[in-house]
Amino acid sequence: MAGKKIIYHCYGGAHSSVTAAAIHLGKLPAEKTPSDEELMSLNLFDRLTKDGHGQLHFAGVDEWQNQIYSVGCRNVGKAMERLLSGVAEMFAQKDQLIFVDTLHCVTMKMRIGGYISRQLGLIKIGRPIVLQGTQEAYPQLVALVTRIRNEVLR
Amino acid sequence: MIYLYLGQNDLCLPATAASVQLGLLMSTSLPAYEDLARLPHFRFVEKEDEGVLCFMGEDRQGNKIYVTSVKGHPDLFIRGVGSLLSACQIPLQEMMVIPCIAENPQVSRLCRIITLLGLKESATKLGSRVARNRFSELAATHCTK
Repeated sequence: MAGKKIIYHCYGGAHSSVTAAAIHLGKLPAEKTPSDEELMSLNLFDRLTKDGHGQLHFAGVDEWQNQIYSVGCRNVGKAMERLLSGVAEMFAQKDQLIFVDTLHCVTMKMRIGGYISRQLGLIKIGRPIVLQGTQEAYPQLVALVTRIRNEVLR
Repeated sequence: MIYLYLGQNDLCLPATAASVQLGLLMSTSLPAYEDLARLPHFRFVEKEDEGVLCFMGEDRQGNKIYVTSVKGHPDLFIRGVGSLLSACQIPLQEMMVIPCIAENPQVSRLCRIITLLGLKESATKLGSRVARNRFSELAATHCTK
């Protein structure tokens, strides 16, 4: 099952999906919660704006040559999955796509902090909240990525 | 080449524009309400229909024509398709996404509510009205491609 495209998606594509993609690629440790600096070292973490929503952002290639992407789909993640799967099917590439919704891992602090930082543009206020929220949600994100990695490996 | 007509909340406008390209409707004359209502996929979408691609047919040049509809943020879907094609190393010229959005999306939302209330015929009539109002623009979209 090598050479697939694994697409982690969430609302804004700036926090949970980026973190999940980084866990998948081993850029963030699975066994311990990352520090603020480790999270902020990710290129897209708390940086993507709404102009980048819908755009697949390439995060890297895992050890099985799967391409890992993150994307912000706002509240239309399911519709996006259906549309992109349909388009991929037209070009006989549907089997290559794996969509992973990370929204269910998102904590209230991530929502509030993300809204303040990304929507309102008040980064100094929102970023510490979203960082704390991401650290709290980290075990769930690790569990999700572990499940996906095991599924892909199977 | 693949043409994808993208609507918001409804398939009425995309189905109308696609039908002009397929030759099911004449671009030079305003279609009757009944003609519009008879078009394939001319309807309002439900939640589980959003993003589903509906095949309309092939035009004379052999281009495949699809329609789909989403609840909102059509720009996001256009970017998504473009970046997926790039990720799959498919030339962007292979597929064109053409937005067919009502000027006032609230009309589409109203029609959706009417559909949910079980008044599908009334919703289709309203959809036909919207499509007729926008017909010259939809036909021009096709002609200028």
